[in-house]
Amino acid sequence: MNQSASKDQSVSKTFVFEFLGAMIAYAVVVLVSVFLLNHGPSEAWWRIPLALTPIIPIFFAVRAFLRFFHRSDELQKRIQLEAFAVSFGVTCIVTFSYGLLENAGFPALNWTWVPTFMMVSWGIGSAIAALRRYA
Amino acid sequence: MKNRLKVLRAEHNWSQAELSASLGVSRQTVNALETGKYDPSLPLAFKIACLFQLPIEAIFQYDCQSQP
Repeated sequence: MNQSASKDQSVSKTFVFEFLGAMIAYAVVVLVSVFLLNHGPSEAWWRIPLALTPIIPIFFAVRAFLRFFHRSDELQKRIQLEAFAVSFGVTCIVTFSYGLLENAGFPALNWTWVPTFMMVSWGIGSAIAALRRYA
Repeated sequence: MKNRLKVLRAEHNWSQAELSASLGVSRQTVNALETGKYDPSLPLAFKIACLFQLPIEAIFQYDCQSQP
């Protein structure tokens, strides 16, 4: 086989392995964190650091993506840049619109939905850029 | 920007995978270059020119008249 294809596959495999590992760790940590917060003493000093522990696996997920980005070729970098532009724009419009709707009585949503929405729109943006523009 | 990448690759009897390996890019990138959907960076254009041992303008043609 050729070096480029195997290098591409290796870069993608490494990213999937690192990213999925971080997200699985996130799921476990957030479940444990929420359980302990709900069942622990309400005045404990460790509630704030415990509530922030899910940030640690998120840090590794971001690191995995940055490593993937730096190892990608120039077209892949452009696709990701376009995907981020889509994600940024869509997230701005949706979150700002919902913020305005809260003034009209809509229920306040948890802020953790914002990065979730960003990641979903990033994925959709990647697919659009890769398949519609460069396929 | 038009290019002769597909013709040159065929002349050398290379597959897209072999060309992408020589250039150090993905096969998707070679495909996007050949179909004219993606214009390469200057370093990649020079790399392609070096690989085929041709000047850049013999591979990539830019139509100045069609631009505003």
